[in-house]
Amino acid sequence: MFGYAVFVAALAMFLPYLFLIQAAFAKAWGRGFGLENISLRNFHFVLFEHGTAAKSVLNSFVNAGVSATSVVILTLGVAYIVTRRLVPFGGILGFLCIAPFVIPGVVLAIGFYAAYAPPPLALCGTAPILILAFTTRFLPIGYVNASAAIRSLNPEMEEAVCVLGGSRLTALRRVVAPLLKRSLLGAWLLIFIPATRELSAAIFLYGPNTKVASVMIFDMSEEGNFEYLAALALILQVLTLPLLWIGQKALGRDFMLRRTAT
Amino acid sequence: MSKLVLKNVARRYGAVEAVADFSLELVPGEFVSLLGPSGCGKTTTLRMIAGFVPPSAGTIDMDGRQISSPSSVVPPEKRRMSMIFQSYAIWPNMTVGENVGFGLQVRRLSRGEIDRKVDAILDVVQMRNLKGRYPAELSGGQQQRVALARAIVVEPEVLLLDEPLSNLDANLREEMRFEIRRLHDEFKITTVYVTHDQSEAMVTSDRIVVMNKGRIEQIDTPHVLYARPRSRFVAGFIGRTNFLEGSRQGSEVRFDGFSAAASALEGANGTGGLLYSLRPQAIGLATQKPNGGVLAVEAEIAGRSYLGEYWDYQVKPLGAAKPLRVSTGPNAVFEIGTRVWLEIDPSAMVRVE
Repeated sequence: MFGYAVFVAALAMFLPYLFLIQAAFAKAWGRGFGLENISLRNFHFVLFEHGTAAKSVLNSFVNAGVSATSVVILTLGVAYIVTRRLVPFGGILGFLCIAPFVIPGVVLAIGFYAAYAPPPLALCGTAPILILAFTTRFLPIGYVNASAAIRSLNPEMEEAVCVLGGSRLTALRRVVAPLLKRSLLGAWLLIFIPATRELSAAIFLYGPNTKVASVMIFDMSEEGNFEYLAALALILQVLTLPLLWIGQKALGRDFMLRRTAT
Repeated sequence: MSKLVLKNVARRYGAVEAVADFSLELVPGEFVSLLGPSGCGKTTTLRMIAGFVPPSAGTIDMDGRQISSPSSVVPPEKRRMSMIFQSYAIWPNMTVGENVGFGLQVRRLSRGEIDRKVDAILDVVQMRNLKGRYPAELSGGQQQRVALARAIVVEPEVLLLDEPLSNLDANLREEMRFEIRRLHDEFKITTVYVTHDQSEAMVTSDRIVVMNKGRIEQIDTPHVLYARPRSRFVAGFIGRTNFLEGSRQGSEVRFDGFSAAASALEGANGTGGLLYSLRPQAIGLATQKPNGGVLAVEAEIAGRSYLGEYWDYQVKPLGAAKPLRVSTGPNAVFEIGTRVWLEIDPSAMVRVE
């Protein structure tokens, strides 16, 4: 059993990572393992010499952060309206939030391009269009989390606010949001982390100043710069890993599976 | 002037009539219970008073101002009422003090004023020492006290309680009944209390509305409700009782195993079936034939159970098909099979529909 587990882990994790790390630190990755082949030149290059690589990492993080935040806020609102039946036919709203799940990122990107690139919006190549696309792509994850979390709250908690003179908004702000803080933070991380490496929509929508890390990595692979590619990927890894660690610390080991607010 | 007036209020859900033709007036400071089995419409009625559910017919007025009608409903947050929920609905993210102070904060009172009022009400419910605790650290009874304090501290026009004691264990439930009545006597808030527990309703209420299948069966004080139930449902729901079916024969009414003079019985000259309710406590047991104005019926003890506070006997009049239930004090011991005399006061027999 143990041997089998190690075998699977080796195939899935150790081997790819080993070669990724080797390439990142190699002068030339084809020369194999060996002390004389190790250098930090690749990192120095992508961080300080390359024109846009460092900027692309920053772009990725800003886009992912803004998108994750807007997804969480949007889906909390929609899930609340749908679950508490505040409007007729709310189920349709819920369905619209889930729908992007079945649309391939490429198709979604082309749709966005067609809709937002021509004037008067002319958003092509700007950060807002990337953020809009990411927000749409990750709506389903946010919605499923938010609606499960809200369903776990007894509506009497909010009714108690109303009876005492508070509005729905007061109930959301003072009771619902604080009680759902943990599950919402979990949902935020679940969106933020994949959003930092989203490629399929980004590749159609980025512009000269808004290139994100995933697109950068893709370009490097096209050019055959595997050492730089590996170094950039490793930087991305090192930056996101702490978030996973924070998530587990703050929310418990199984935060990715968390479906209820406790 | 009446505090709260419900006029012909009804609520339909599709084809289901949850509440039908409900009319009730509460005078200021009155404590009224809505009592009935689950699904009788009592909670729907309460939620209509609170403003969470609009009526499909009828109107609700408070202090002479209309607050609910099928066309317009004043929202719950504008009614200046308080409600205590079955789940308590204490907010787990706030301390006891913050929970209780919330309504005052919403009403924009000053910090000092809020602190003073919160402390005062926490003293009343004996929770002052737990002001800084979070609800997760409190027992069920303590959470209930927080809910009470939170509801009363805002000095509401009307206090609504939705089965507030159903999640507590039996001893605590009994204690909290008296607590709720004590708080009512202290603050004199007009109160509507929903429960399915008849003893809860009897301990707390000035008047009880007995509901069944969305309709009002009877509205009366606890004593009248028990002594003079008007329908079979009320007689059976409030306490235990014997139902006696009679048939008129000349000047007498014949029951199973005995008969009584029609002139001594209430409503024996009316039309329709003669169904009477006779409480087990209203029947006496004696070894000697009693004399005086009571009805004496010879009978045999058919079964018994001892419940500590009283004996529950099944006693069968000679020649009867079914036994009657009779409650006696714990010291009145009769063996099974003993011949006894039943003492029945005909005026205690209440005709029901």
